[in-house]
Amino acid sequence: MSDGGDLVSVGVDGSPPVVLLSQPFTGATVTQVRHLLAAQVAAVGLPGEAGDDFVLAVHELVTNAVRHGGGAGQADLYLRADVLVCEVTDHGAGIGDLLVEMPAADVPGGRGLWLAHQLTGTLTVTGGPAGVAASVSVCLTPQSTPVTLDSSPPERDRVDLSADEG
Amino acid sequence: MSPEPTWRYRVRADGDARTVALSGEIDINGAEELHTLLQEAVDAGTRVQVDLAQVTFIDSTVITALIKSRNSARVAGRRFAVVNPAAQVHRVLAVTGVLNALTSGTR
Repeated sequence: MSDGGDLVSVGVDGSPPVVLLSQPFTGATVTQVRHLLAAQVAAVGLPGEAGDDFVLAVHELVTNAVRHGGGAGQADLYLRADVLVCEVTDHGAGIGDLLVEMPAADVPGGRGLWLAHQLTGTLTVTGGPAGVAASVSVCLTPQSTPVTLDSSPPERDRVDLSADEG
Repeated sequence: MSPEPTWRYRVRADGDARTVALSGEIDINGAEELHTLLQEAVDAGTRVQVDLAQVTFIDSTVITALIKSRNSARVAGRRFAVVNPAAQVHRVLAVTGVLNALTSGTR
C-alpha cells in the first residue's frame, strides 16, 4: 500500500487464505505428512531453524491427534497474508496433556503440545463434540515486537472448520 | 501395518559397555522400538552411550523413550548418556530442558 515500512498489519483479515496443503493422515503416514509439510514450509520461504521449529510444532500436533485424537486426522496448511498457519483436526475425545510449564527433566512424557507452543509461541486448541482443532502459526515477515497473533488460550473464536466425516 | 523405517541403529559391544549409534529421522513410528532397543542395551551393559550424531530429527515421543531409558539405567545403577546431538536434535533437547540430564550421564 504505502511505499514505506509496515505492510505487516495490512490485509491480515482481508486477504483470503491460500491453501498450501490439505492432507489427511493416520499413524502410518505421520512421517510422510511431515515431509510434505517441510517441503511447503521451505518453498514458502521459512528457512533454517524457524522452518524446523514450525515443522516440528505441526508434527507434534499431528502426533497428538494420532495418540489422543482417534488415530487419524487432517492437516491444513495455509497462508493468510504473511502468516503461515497449520491447523490439525481430529475426531477424538480429548487433547492429552496441555501443560503450561515445562516438565521436569526426569519426567518421560507430556512434552508434545508444550513443545508445539514453545516453538511457535502460538497454539490454539479448540475442542468440540466433533473433535479437536489445534493450530500453530508463524509470521513470515521478520518483526521487531508487536503484531503477533493470539498467544493467549482460546475462549470462543475459530469455528471455521467443521468436521463431520467418519 | 507400520511404514518403512526412516532410521537405523548399530549396537557395538565393548566389554560391558554398549554404544548404540542411531541415524535418520525418529518419530512416533520408531519411538517404541527405540525404547526396546535402549532398554536391551541398559539390561546388557553397565555403560550405555547413545550416539545421535547421525540423527536428523527427533520429537517428543523420542524424548520420552530416552528419558525412560535413562531413568531405568539410573534405577539399575548403570551409566547412560546421550552423545553428539547435532542441529535439530540438539535444539529440541535443549528447548525441552533435558539436554543436561541426558548428556551428563548417570551412575
